[in-house]
Amino acid sequence: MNKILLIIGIFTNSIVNTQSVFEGRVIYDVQIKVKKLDVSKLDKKKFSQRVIRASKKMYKDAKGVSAYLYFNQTESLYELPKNLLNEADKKMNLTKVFAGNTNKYYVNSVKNEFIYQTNTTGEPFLMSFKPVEWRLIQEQKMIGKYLCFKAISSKTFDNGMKKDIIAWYTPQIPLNFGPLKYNGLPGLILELDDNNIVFKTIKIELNKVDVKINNPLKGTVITSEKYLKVVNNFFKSIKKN
Amino acid sequence: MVYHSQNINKMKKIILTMVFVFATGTMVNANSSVEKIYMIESMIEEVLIGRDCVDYARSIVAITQINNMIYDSNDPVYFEWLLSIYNAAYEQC
Repeated sequence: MNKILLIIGIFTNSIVNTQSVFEGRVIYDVQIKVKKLDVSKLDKKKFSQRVIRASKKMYKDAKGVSAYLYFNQTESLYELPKNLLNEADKKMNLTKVFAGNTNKYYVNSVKNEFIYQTNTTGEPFLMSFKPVEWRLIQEQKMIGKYLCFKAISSKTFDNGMKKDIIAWYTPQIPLNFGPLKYNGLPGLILELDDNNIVFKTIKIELNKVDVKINNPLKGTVITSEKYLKVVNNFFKSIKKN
Repeated sequence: MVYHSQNINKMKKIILTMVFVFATGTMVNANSSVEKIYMIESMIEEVLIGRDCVDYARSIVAITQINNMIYDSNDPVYFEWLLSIYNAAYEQC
């Protein structure tokens, strides 16, 4: 009888442990990748000295930020810390802009939901986004105590230019989540280089954070095509004025 | 009409003189002669040409695109970056 109870106890304990391992929070340190304005790239006839000076300052003022990825077995939510967003926003921080600013990314891997909430236009919009396609590479490295593998995703722009996005994921935490819209790998993304910003994990909190991700995103549902039109029209209108 | 244009030229001269005096007085911290020239240029520009915040913000967006090689794509996130930069630059203007 005692043996049976012991086996049941070990079995129950292992189930609890296994389940609780898969929820928590990753804290990333986010840094801008291009840290300086390369004035030689600019046509000086096109831009005033005031604008160049302000742009130089914008890069100089771009300070690193933290970003949070909350996750459980099936869902993840990426966002910047609330205190960062409440800061007086008069001084622009380019890193904050590239790291998502007030926008949030929600993934439900069971329901195949990939939702992005944007607040940039002042009104919250919800858009679905396509999962990124990855090539798994046989390179590996340790990030903290986690063995990580490399994955690359290529992005092609309208002018034909290609850029590689590099991710390092760990199968030791077999959840396919990551920062921003980057997910879909056979392990949690602990590092990411998307050409403009670099994410590095500074802390993984397992089972210590109360993770209640219940599709927290609210807003008007819009297709990305329609949203692109809204933003494009805005840029066209300012070009005309 | 001639009188009006003469007056404007006179005004410009006065402003330029004032800007130059002000600039030389505040250039103590400028390290190189190139920097000094830039400072004078930009001061004159600000006084005479004035500031158009839309152009200002648009230029900063364009510079960020060039410097970070953010090309057009169908990715809304890229547009949002530019929109955020535009908004912040406009606020700063």
